[in-house]
Amino acid sequence: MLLSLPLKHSFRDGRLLIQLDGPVDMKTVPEIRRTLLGAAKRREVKEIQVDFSRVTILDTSGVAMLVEIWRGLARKDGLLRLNGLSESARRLVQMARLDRVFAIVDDLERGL
Amino acid sequence: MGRSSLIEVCGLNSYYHKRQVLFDIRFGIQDTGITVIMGVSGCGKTTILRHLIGLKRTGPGEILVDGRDLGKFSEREMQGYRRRIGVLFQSGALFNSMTVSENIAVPLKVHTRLASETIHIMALIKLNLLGLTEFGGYMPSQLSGGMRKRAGLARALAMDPEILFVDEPSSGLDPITAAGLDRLILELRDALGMTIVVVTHELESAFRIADRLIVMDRGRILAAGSPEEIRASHNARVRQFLERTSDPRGVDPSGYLSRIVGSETMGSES
Amino acid sequence: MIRWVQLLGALFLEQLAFLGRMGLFFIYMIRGILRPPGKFRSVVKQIHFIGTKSFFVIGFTAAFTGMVLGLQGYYTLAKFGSEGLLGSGVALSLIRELGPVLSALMVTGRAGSAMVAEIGIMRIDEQIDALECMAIDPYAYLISPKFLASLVCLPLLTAYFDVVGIFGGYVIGVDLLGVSPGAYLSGVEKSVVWKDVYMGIVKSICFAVLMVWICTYKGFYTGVDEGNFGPEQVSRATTDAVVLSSVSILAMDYVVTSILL
Repeated sequence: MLLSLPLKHSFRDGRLLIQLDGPVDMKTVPEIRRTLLGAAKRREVKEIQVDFSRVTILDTSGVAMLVEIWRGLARKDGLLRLNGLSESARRLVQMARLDRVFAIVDDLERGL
Repeated sequence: MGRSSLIEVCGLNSYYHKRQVLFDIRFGIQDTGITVIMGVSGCGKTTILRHLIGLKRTGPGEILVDGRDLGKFSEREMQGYRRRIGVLFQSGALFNSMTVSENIAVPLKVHTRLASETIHIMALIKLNLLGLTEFGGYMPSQLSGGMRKRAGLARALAMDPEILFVDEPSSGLDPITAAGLDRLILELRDALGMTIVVVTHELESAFRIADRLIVMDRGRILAAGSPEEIRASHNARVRQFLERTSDPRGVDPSGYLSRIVGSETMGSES
Repeated sequence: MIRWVQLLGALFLEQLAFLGRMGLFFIYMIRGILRPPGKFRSVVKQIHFIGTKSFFVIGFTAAFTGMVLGLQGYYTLAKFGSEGLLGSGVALSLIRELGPVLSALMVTGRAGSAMVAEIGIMRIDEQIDALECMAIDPYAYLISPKFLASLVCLPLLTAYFDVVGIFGGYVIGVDLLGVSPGAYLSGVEKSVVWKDVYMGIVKSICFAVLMVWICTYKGFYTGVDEGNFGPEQVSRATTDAVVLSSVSILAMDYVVTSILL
């Protein structure tokens, strides 16, 4: 079942897997955030996994956006997973001390 | 060295009120790593910094950024350059009428269309990075000198700059706080792979953090190289600077004795 | 002999440079209105800073000015047996001259000096450099909002001054000196025409421009020429700015009056 989102995604059993592409920085975050927050609000969505394997740049605004999504999901005991983070992206999340808060997984979920 | 130069200074000369303060300065700032420009007060290091951040544009010579001369940048190009850099000024230069968090948020509010909540979280992340998590709501006047500098650094980092410029990080700080700030600067290089340019007159600080040192004296570059190379230098003036001794020739260079006693008869002092 | 010529020449060039820099500053100040960041919030904040905080000072000054006018006016008019014209006299003096001029001088002393000090302190603390290095136009961020706020505040404060002053004249003239209230108020109504009010508004706008231009300029360039960025420079800039603004306002008053009369 597919939700109507402008990003590449798949949805099954309450888990939404979204693939981001290109830069996730101060220019692109406002748009992406709107989509993801909207998705996190929906009742059917229990978990969101964000695939970063095709993301070129991640900056602090991207990390802040992830915090907001995490908050939206945590309100309904949901889960936020991240996979495919590059070395520098992972370091950024670590510097923000959020590597324990977000569930960072290394295997790519099949489905896309 | 094999690494690309982000910024290349080619034969920079500079004047303040008709007095020449920089003479044919040449060096490069490499991508990733900490370059420290050091020298005594008045040697011209702050002038070089002001040139590098675009606050001073006169004087023959070029500063090449991505191959183009900074001195010839249009306003648009300069704005583009400035969005890629962060500057920590000597006193922190925080805006007095707003809290620390609001200070950090200023460039984000002006240059991006990020939501306020996103900006708020970004400010918190930067505050945490600088050990100021609980102080976001404080006004600058309520902070100590060391905290003000860290807050200024948090603001300098707000836009995730490629290059960070720091003007005299240790000034006005006690040795412990200064060492703490140095550690933070090292962390920024290691964790974020930042390119950092520091201007200082503190020897210990310089050797603690530098990947590359540029020693300056009276408007000229005395020596440039790795800390080990500088420490091993045979240049008399460099040695004098490192060992913090008085003039190696042992003669009274400022004419103090002849002034106080009224004659040249006192001669050699060592 | 040559030295005198040199000195004179240097002085002339200095003044020319000053005028040139002020002219450029004015252009940047206007240009900054159209540039980011967004102005609405900061202009409102500045209106509070310049306007609301001047409320008491203006009210006070206006009351006493009106009262003095009432007093002086009565005794002067009494010599010609024309006490009934007191209302007209007080109203016209206030609306055409004293309202705009005294409001401007009071606001210069209060808000204008505060502007110089605020911006001057920012200058010596490298905060303006910090703005520039963050790719934020300091004119658009700091100066233009104050300019717009002054244009709003000063005419309004002048109107407020006029009303309070006329009332002050009424209190003295009618309650103290026995002028008939009807004569006073109808005098006001009959003799004040649109041209008078228009003159007052034009003056207050001109004064607003002068005040904010001079005060923000002085604050912005604190210490820049001397190369010395210390607290003495700020206090010197503040004093210079208030004096220069006040004198300019009075000179401009003559110019506008002679043009509009």
